[in-house]
Amino acid sequence: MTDYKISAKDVQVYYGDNHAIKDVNVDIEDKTVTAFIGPSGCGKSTFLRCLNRMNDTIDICRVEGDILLDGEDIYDPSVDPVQLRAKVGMVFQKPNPFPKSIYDNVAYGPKIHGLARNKIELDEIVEKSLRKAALWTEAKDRLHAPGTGLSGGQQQRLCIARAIATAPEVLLMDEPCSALDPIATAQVEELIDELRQSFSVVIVTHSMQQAARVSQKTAFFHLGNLVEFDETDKIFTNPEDPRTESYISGRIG
Amino acid sequence: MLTIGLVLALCAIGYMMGTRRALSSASGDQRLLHSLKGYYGQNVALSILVPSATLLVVWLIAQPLLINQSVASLFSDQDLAEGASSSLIIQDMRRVANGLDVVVDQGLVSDDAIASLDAESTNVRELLADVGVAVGSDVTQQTLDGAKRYRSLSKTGNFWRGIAVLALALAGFVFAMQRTDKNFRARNVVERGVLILLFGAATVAVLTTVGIVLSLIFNTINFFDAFPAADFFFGTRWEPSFSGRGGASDLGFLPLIWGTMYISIISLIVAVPLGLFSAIYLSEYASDRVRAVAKPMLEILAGIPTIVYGLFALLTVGPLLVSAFGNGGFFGVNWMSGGTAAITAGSVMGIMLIPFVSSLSDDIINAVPQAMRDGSYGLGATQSETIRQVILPAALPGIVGAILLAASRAIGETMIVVLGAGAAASLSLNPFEAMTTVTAKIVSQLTGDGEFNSPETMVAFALGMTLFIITLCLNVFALYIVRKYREQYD
Ligand SMILES: Nc1ncnc2c1ncn2[C@@H]1O[C@H](COP(=O)(O)OP(=O)(O)OP(=O)(O)O)[C@@H](O)[C@H]1O
Ligand SMILES: [Mg+2]
Repeated sequence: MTDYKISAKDVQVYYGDNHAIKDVNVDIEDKTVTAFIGPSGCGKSTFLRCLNRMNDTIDICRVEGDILLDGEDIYDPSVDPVQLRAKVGMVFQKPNPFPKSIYDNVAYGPKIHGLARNKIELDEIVEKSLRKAALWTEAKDRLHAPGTGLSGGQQQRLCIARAIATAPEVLLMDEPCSALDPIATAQVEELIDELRQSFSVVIVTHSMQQAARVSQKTAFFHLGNLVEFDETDKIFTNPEDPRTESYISGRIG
Repeated sequence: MLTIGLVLALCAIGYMMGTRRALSSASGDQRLLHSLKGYYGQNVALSILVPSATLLVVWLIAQPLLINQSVASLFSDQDLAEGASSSLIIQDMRRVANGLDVVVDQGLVSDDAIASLDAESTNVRELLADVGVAVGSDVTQQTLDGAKRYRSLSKTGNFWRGIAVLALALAGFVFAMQRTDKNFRARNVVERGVLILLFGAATVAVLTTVGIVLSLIFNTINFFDAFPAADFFFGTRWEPSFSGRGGASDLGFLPLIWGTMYISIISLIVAVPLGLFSAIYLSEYASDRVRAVAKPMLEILAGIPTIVYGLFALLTVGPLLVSAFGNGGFFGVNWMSGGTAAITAGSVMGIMLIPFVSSLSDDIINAVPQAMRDGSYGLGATQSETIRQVILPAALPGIVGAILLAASRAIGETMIVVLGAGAAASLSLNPFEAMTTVTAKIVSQLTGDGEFNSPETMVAFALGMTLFIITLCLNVFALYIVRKYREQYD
């Protein structure tokens, strides 16, 4: 039962009276990439944000049902959302580097969680994270320049570096490539594939090709419902639900 | 009054007639008109109002000046040299003239009889006293003549003013009506008219500012003619001697600016932490319900007149501080002998500045994008880590700007200092001692009955000018910082 990294049971999300997520059940395996696809406004981001309780910051948002991380309910009152978010990292749809230097952006998480014992270790973590996010070559000479001075795509990779520097167990990525050019996209996809060795990754994407390329499992959302959840190959070659079929062939959306 | 009423009535009539005429020129069909029918009416009304109102204002300003000049020529230079200044004589005369108006109104003396009044046979002073107008001394023949001349001149002036304004209004009416026709581009003309009106309003505001600054500058220059600038800027003693008793006065600026700075710094020490923390609480922690109550409360604090804060300083905070730091007080120290001290004024001024700092900082903190917070929370940071390490650094330039603006208010504050800090100008480091500031001294220099031409009173302008320059620089610098920071997120 607990071989799943995350399992969500009967999850409902309301924004005030708006029932945004209806009865969603999803099991996310460790060391796999799970893709969420679906038309705009169907609740992909909302569901993703439930997985690390980022919805707590929205006053009108209410979550019901159980979401288990390693078998433990993350909405249990005894769980500290701050610790949870250290384990379940997040990269947002829009790049949001802090108005600090590139170095400080990446070092932010490790410093908060005390992951480095000294400056040398911190330097190592920063370098490793930037390398993984394919930003090292561009940024190594300007580590102390402001992160907001990077291009949009570079900023997004900086945010990815920032998220992996905290060494999360699960990485949630909300359309991480929507601001990236094809080369950077390919680099990020490569990175995701590499991250799969150590964590499980959940990625929201509007690109069918991307979902097909990087993920092993795919979930299709439609109007707040989870329509179909299966092996990526199966979803893209032989979907069971007619709505899935018409979405991936471009008829809904 | 009658003139204004007539002009306004003409405007209303012009509006209706203009609208009607435009419609009838298009044989009642709106669509044939170049502009909406209302614009034709507005055009007529504006053509009546703008020129006549302008003339009225100019006339109102010019007439007294011209009359004063004409009346002043009645007096010989000799009279002026002996007696008080010419402005005083003219003031007297105007008073008599106004008194005569009242006398006529009450029917004591007929209008014609006034002309034959003369100071020898009638006691004008008593006559005026009968109708409740008090005059300082007996009215001389000369003053009486002047008053008569003043009356007749202003009477004719007022009469012609009415005629001229009405004539101009009528001319505007006729001119605009003649232009009214279905092809006339009334909309464009009205747009231009509105533009001119708005421009006029802006010009008045700007010219007033320029006027104030120029009068400050000229008077300051006058002061420095009478008093050496070096003694003013570098003098360490402020001991004005009024009524020329003890010879020259010391008008050193240093003790005053020292007091100003010292009290302002105390007030900022109070206001900045309290204001900033309450802004952080309100924008990051408080629930909507708390915010809905607390924000207006803070804003009420901003609406309290400073004189009320002054009373608070004098009657509550001063005694309270004395009972804490004074002889036999709570702390058992004897640091403070009287309630009026730098720390009294400074702390009360700090309370006054709290809402100022907090509402500006609140705006600035709220301007930090939500994405910044999300990014930090998403990395597992707590709320206070997020605030300390992400939000405050991002908002810092704006907050510094807010603090500078608060400082420039503290420097310009007067009433709290007058009531709370005492009047002794001293170059002291002790916050429990009475001190005074530039603004408080400006008040005390001008509230005596000294003539307005000695260095002791003129120094007010030099003080005001210096203060103005300091606060101007602070404001410009603060706005520069605030604006520079705003650009970051655009
Ligand atoms: N902060 C919010 N407050 C109120 N309603 C919200 C909020 N965020 C999302 N919603 C609502 O929840 C629903 C799902 O939104 P969500 O952002 O999850 O869609 P999405 O699938 O991520 O769309 P996209 O692909 O465009 O990002 C929408 O109907 C939206 O209006
Ligand atoms: Mg989304």
